[in-house]
Amino acid sequence: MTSQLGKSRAAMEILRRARLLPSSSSVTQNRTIYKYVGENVESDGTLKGDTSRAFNQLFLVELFRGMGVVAGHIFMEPATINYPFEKGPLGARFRGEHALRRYPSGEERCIACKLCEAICPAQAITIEAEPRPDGSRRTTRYDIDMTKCIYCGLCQEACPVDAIVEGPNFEYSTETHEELLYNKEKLLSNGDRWEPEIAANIQ
Amino acid sequence: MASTVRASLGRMGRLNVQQQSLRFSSSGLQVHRDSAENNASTRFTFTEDSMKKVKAVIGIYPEGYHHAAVMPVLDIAQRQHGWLPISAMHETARVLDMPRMRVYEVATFYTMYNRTPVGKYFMQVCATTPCMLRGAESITEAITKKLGIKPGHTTDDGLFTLAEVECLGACVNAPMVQINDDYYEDLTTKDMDTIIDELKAGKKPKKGPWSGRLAAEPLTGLTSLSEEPKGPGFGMQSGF
Amino acid sequence: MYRVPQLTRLATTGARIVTSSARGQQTAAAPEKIEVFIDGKKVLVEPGMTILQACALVGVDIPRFCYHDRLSIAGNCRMCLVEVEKSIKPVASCAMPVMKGMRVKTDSPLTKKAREGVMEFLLVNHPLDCPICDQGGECDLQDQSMGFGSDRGRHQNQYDGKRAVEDKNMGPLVKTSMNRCIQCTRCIRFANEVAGVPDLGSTGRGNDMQIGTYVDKFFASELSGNVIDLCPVGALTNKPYSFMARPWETRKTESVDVMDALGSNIVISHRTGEVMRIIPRMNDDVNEEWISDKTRFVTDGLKRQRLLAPMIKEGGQLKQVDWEEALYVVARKLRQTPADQIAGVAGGLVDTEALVALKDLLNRFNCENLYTEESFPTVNGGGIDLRTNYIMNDRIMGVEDSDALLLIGTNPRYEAPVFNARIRKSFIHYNLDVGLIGSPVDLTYDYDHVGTNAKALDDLLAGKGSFAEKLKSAKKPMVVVGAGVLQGPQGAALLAKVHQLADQLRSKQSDKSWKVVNVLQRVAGQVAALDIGYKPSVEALRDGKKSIKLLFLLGADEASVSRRDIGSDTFVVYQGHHGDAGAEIADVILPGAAYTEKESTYVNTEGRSQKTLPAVQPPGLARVDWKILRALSEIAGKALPYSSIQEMRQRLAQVAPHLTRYGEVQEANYLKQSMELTEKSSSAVNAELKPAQLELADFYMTNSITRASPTMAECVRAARKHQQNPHIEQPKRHTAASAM
Repeated sequence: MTSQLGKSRAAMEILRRARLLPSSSSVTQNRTIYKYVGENVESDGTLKGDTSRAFNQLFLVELFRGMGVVAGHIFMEPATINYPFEKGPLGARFRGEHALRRYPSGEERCIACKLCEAICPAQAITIEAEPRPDGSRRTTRYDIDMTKCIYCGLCQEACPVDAIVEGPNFEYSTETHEELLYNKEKLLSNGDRWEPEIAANIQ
Repeated sequence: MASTVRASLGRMGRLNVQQQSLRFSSSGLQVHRDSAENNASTRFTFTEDSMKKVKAVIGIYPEGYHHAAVMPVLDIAQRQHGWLPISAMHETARVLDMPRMRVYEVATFYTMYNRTPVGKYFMQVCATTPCMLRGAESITEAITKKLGIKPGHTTDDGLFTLAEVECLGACVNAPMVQINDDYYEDLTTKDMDTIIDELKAGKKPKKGPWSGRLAAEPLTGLTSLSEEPKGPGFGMQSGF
Repeated sequence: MYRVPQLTRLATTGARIVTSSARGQQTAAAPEKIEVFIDGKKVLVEPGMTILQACALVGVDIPRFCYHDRLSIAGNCRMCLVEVEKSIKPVASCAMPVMKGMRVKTDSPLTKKAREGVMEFLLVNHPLDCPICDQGGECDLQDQSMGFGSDRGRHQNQYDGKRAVEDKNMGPLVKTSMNRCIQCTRCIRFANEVAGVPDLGSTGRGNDMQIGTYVDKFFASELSGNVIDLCPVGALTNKPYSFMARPWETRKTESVDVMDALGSNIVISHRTGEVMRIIPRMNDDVNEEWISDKTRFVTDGLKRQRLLAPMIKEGGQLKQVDWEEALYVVARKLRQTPADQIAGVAGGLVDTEALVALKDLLNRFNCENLYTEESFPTVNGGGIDLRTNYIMNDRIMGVEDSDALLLIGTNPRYEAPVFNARIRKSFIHYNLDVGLIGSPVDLTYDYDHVGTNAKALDDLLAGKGSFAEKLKSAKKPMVVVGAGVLQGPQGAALLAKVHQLADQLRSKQSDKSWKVVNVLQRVAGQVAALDIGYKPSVEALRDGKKSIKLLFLLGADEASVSRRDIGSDTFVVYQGHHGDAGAEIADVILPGAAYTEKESTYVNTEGRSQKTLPAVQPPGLARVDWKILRALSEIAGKALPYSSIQEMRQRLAQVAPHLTRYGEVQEANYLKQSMELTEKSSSAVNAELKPAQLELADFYMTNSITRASPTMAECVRAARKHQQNPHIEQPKRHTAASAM
């Protein structure tokens, strides 16, 4: 124990010489600049102090000061918004509800490459695929379990054709769990509904 | 001269596009499509004469290696039939006892096997740089004007087929045209007209250079090696 | 690498590149090894080895596309370039034989640059459609471009575009996407060398070169599916499996195939309780790394026509019931019927566990009437009591050591395609002489057609004919008789004749372990059934006496026993996995499991026991077969003494110990005794030997699983249509020239 102390003292000496520590032997700092945030001391014991305290209490100074703040805020712009009717701004990269997009021709973009399924860390995506009669590769099933999803956005990063995206919609709470198990139809209809916003965000 | 070169270089861009779109049969489609004149039941058998040649060619190769004769045999078939229908390839495979696919491979690899019908006179205009610089395009245009066919096409009477090909190795006598087996060199558009007229008339036009040269010597006479050749012992030490 | 004419053959054999096969090691006295240095590491290799093989010895993996162990060396992809000291250019390691003191650098800057350059060129014309490509995830090009490629290419797509190649129609099994082709020519070499169907080739030259058939035709080979595995990119993919799954999401179960009696080793790829595809597993003793198309593409047959629940016939209609009811009905019948009126018939796909369980069950009821659908002569040579009589004694591998092979009444090309590929390999590389007695069929190699009638055997015995000479002078002759022609009344006599011939050939042998006589079985379960003691024929049931009142069909689907044979009052129980001929006549149906759904044992035609592992659950209420029989035994009051697979296996070992020695072949002995028991007759057997499968269309549908498969049906249609194609070649002699 003592030898350790000795060691640390020696180390401190080295640091001091290098002017990394104050030169006094004590390492305790004297703090002088601070703000006291606790309850006010009743009185500092002087007459002036007692008088000022009596004045403040007698004329409810704090109350009026408070009312002044309130009055001032009445004329300031409110910090809150009227949520269901008003909405705050969203970033272009906001990751909300998923949607499957289509090409302008109406053809679905998804080619069933299954990269989103592979990358999904929560394993929320399930895809099944087979050749469509025209020979193209399409999904027969594209499910996302929205209750598993962690909204990391890796699926849209992985998608080579920008088919699966996390759109700007975040208001899709439901009353049952089942409603949050999205299938391909739901995701495509999401895509149709949100296409203008999604397209604008991707720009 | 310089202006003609520039002009032809200017045309080059256009020409390349044209060449790509007009690739001729020998380098065209690499798969077979059945057509009215070219299908598995197209009649083809080696004539007696051809068969004699085929036998002679096969005889060159040792037993068990007869399939090495595939190139000459295909050539014999093509000479007999004018071009190489799929049935001729099948017949070649049969004669040489080798899989048909191996014959297809050879026939598609070499551009001198014509896997689509060609006219009696198969005119191949060399369009590679030296010939082009010496006016190969004007030769092509002359033929087009005279016969009304574009590269890759055959005249309605089945006499002429025009093709633009890559270097035929006669650059010293550019521009040149190969018609069937013969080279016609140092051509002008007028010469080309004459050749076509003669061919139409059933005559055999003069082969080789049309500029009056014998071969590739300079037109203006020899510029070197003009003196009498030195006799033996020239330049040797007197001691020898 | 093809069979070359005799004269030159002698000259080339010495320089033959040593292959991985056992045969390769045997060549002459071991030549002196030479030393080479791979990345500074010294390694002793046999002369004639390539640099690439030498690198493999020290564990250095050289990237490659065109090189393949089992195909000839093409050296055209250039991916395997390595730097060799004192060589001014990088060399293609797959085609360069090692030389003494060679110093190879596989990770030098030059090598790295060469690989990057090659990869850049390969990618110039390769479409970047990995997301829709089925090879994605198991693509050599993908992997190697990640491993060895550059991170950028200089190809300017907007100026040059990429080469576009028309897709080829190769039939219902192989899907092509020729844009992706990198022209490694593996498929061409496979078709020419292994499959023996020289229909694939490269047409055109330079940038216009394409791989294909030139004319529009179906790649008519029973081994065509293997080009899918060989293709290093996604140019040739599995058509029925297309877009179904990604390799990373499937689970893989190692198993054994039952489509033929070879027991090819397979890997079953499955996902969400569904078999997605079947790919081969390497086993040099059995299937090398090939499997037949039937093995590979049968997967959709496993999903159709399946028996999902127990059923009982009521008033001519099958009614779905639960297991208790079905088993109760069967058990009651079992108890009520006198022992001599009960019979069991096992089909060709039945596993050994179920065979043993059925035998044990019926034996408990004192019933010994156990038959296999596939018949086999029992009278001569000790019949089925001696194992020599019904297995392929000289093994599949033996074909590579053999120098003369006589095929009798078999068409191995369709009865055992992978075995046929092995014969062809031996024919090309090891100068095997083949003779055939039976219908003249196209076997993909040359053979002496000795005759179509079994009478030709007597000529061979008498030493008449050129092939008799070859057989006589052969050091290791092999006689392979197809199990198909041994059926019927003449079978026994024929087998005796074969034994006689084999004995004659064997008497000259110095190697006593070489047995000469071999039987090529047709179905997967037959050897095990005979090992256990089933009687190989249902003739006894068809004797017209109609004495059997309870018939237990265990996967018997070949309609060997019909209602007419057994009488209308016979109670027929069918246990199996497919609604086929057996289920049609059944009064009670017990749904069993197919080979992908159970842990079971199969013994292949050479007597090698191998096990399957369950990849998926049996569908619906279907259960593993031996467990059904075990449950039945309990309800019938005579419980069988095993209730777990371990106990079941112990019972197998009791019955025949070799059944549980997986992967090994138990050699059959008592050859001499078998010969003594053979009745030698001098009279000729007069039988036309005609195998059941003569052409490709016959190949695809041979059992209840394949009959349920739409893919197989399509193949049959394609093969029939192919016959009308004017561009097909008539079956011809596979002479030296034709293979070139």
